[in-house]
Amino acid sequence: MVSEKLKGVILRELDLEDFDMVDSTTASMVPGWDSLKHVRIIMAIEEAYDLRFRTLEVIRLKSVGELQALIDKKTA
Amino acid sequence: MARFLLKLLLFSALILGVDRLAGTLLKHGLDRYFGFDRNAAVLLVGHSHTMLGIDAELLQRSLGMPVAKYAVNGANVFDRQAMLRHYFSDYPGKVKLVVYDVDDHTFTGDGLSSNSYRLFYPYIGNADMNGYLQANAGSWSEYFSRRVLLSPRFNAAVLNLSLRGLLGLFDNFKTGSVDIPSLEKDILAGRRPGILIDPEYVNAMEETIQLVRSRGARLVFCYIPSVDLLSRMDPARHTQVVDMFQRYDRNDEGVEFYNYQEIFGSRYELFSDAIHLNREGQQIFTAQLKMDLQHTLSR
Amino acid sequence: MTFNSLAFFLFLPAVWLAFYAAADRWRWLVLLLASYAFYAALGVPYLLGVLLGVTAITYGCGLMLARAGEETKRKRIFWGSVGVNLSVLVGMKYLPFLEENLKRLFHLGQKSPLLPVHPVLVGIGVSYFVLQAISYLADIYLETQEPETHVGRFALYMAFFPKLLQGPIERAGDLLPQLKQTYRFDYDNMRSGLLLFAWGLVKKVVIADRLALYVNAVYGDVHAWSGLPLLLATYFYALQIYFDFSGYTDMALGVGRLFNLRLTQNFKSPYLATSVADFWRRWHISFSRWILDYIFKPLQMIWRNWGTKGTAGMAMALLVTFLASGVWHGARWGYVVWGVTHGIYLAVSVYWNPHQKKLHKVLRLEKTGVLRVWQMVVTFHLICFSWIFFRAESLSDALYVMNNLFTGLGNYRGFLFQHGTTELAALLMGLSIIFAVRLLWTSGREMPDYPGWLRWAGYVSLVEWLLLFNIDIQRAFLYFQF
Repeated sequence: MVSEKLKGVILRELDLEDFDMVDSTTASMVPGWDSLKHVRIIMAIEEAYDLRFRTLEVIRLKSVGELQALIDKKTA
Repeated sequence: MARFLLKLLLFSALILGVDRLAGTLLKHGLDRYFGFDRNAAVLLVGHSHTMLGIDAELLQRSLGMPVAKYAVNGANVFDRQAMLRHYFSDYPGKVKLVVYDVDDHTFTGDGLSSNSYRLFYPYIGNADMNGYLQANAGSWSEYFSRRVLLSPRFNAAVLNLSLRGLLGLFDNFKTGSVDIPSLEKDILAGRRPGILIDPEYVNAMEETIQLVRSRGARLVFCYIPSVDLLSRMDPARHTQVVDMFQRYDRNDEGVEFYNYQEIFGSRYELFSDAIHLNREGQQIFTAQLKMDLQHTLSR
Repeated sequence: MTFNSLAFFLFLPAVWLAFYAAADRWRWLVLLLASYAFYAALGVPYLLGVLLGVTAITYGCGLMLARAGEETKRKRIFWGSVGVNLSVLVGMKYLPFLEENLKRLFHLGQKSPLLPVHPVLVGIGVSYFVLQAISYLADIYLETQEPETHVGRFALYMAFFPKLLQGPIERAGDLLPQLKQTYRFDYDNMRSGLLLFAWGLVKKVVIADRLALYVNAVYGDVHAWSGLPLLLATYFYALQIYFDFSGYTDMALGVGRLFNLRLTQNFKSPYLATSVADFWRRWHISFSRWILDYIFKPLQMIWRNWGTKGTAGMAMALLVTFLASGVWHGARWGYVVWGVTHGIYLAVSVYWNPHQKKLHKVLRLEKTGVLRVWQMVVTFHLICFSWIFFRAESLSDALYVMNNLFTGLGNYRGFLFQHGTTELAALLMGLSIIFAVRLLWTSGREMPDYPGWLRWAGYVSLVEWLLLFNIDIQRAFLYFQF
């Protein structure tokens, strides 16, 4: 389940109005989500949620759903 | 699968057919270019100095006897021996006189590509030439692929000659004039090859003399001129080489040496580059050569 | 044996027939043995040993890595196995280079007790399969890939002969599943595979090797030339390396298709790139994806807090990545400078891009054809400049070329006609045909759309062209004016 907050952060970084983000969404599906933006998104999430990711955790992520799960785990 | 194999076989047959066609056509062009179809009485043998320096058509008209010009870029002493063997075995009995071009670098290997034998693959069908090619081939696959197929026998240099033969373009097209200042710079910078006398080459030359004489033909060593700045680079060795040819001349009355270096070496306007005559040079030189040959032939 | 040798023309059909005749469950074995035989045929026996060693270690560590649950253990296994692979690569490729430079640095003599004497090791193929092994391990570590349990199939994944010597570097996720599929004779694959192979062969032995004749004359003796010939030789080299490498790749992919295997496409019109970043999405794609995924992305993530919004971190990550790229290409300073040059291009563009976008908007050039052409021309020249360092035989040669590119016309006639008019005509004709075919191809009409007789005429002409105009670079008849 992708939270509205996470969706908001991502859309803002990508400068998109809306995008249907579900658990199985991957970066390649979303317009503009390249490697440069990817880092910016991660940084924006760290700021929004006041947490810090370890490189290994973030490199392994394959979809938005996994990203959400990781955030949930770190904020719990 | 069966359909595929059948198509593959058909395709291979087609390729072999096209290869055969192309190869035969190109060889025909090459033969024409060299003038093999003329039953030559005078055979010119050499490399680009002859190709550009002697107008075979003019010579043929003035001498009143058929002339063939068997000359290819870069042909060295060994190549020419094979060339002569090839010609004598394929066209026996007709040649009365061989004109063989020489210069300061006749006995040198340096500066010439060691792969000049490759130019003669089109004549792999001749037993003598075949032996020469087999002895020199870089690898079994190189030789074998040219034995079986015809097209690979022709590289760009030879292809040029074949096409010219097919189209009847025998002339020297070079009209420019040699750039003397830049030649002087090259000489000073040491970029021109030096003169060497390699005993293996001398050996091959002496075998060649024997070969020509044994076929009942006369031999004329013709020093086709180069820009004299080159022969002045190493006057001692230049004289050495000239002396060798004069010695061959003296030792056998069937062998002569025509040295044109003195007469033409300083006439820079006749050269398109340091070692080749241009169109005008070719005409003037051939006229001179013709007179000397007429004189020799009448004796 | 190389692809353009008689031996290979006999090897390939033999292997294919054996492959076809074998029972499906043994086909992997046929290919594996053929691949080892292919590698052994190079005549450097220890290379096969290296391949087997790397294969065994990577296979074993892959399984261990997947089974290990605990993070520290996983880390140890991963970095340990990567370390082994890298030391193999470094040992084979760079030891002589390191030794040479250390000697110079410390003025050590020939028989220094510090540096052991050893023969120069040849490492054809090692650079490629080591990277492939590392990508396999990394994918398991990052949990994007399950380890391969069938040791034979894994060995084939590592050794498959079309990609063994020069890549493409195959991802486990791309190649392993294909190796598991049942083989069924596919006419289209056979036809397109052979065509692709022939086309690649033409690119290499008719075009690339011919361009090399001209390039070698200049880069083999740079001080004899000045001005336009240096510029032309550099352009020629840009074309030569493209046709050589993409020709080889076409041959590899074509052979793969004969066995119903789709290898990765390595090239996508690289000189049509509109930026250096775009170039790297089109050139040696399997390699640039590798450095992107396994060097750049992790570094970029680690350094994300450098600079505003991580820009400095990204620039640094690019520099390091492309330095690694340069070093990987070989143990010469020229390669290192080449790599760093690309790193600088990309790092600079990270800062320049936002300004560039604004500039285009202001000049109202956005998305125009003119802009695209301009970008292609500029990018091509940036790339050509970097090729000077890649090709030159020494750094001083490269600097000489750089400083003398625009000194005038120079002896450009000598350069163009050094091998005679026919050779030049053959080159220009060849290039024109390639471009014409490319245009036709991209215009949309697929091969089978053309009538059969026309297609066959094309195939026959292609092969005849190959037979007449191939250059044997080792034994090229170098036209001297005699």
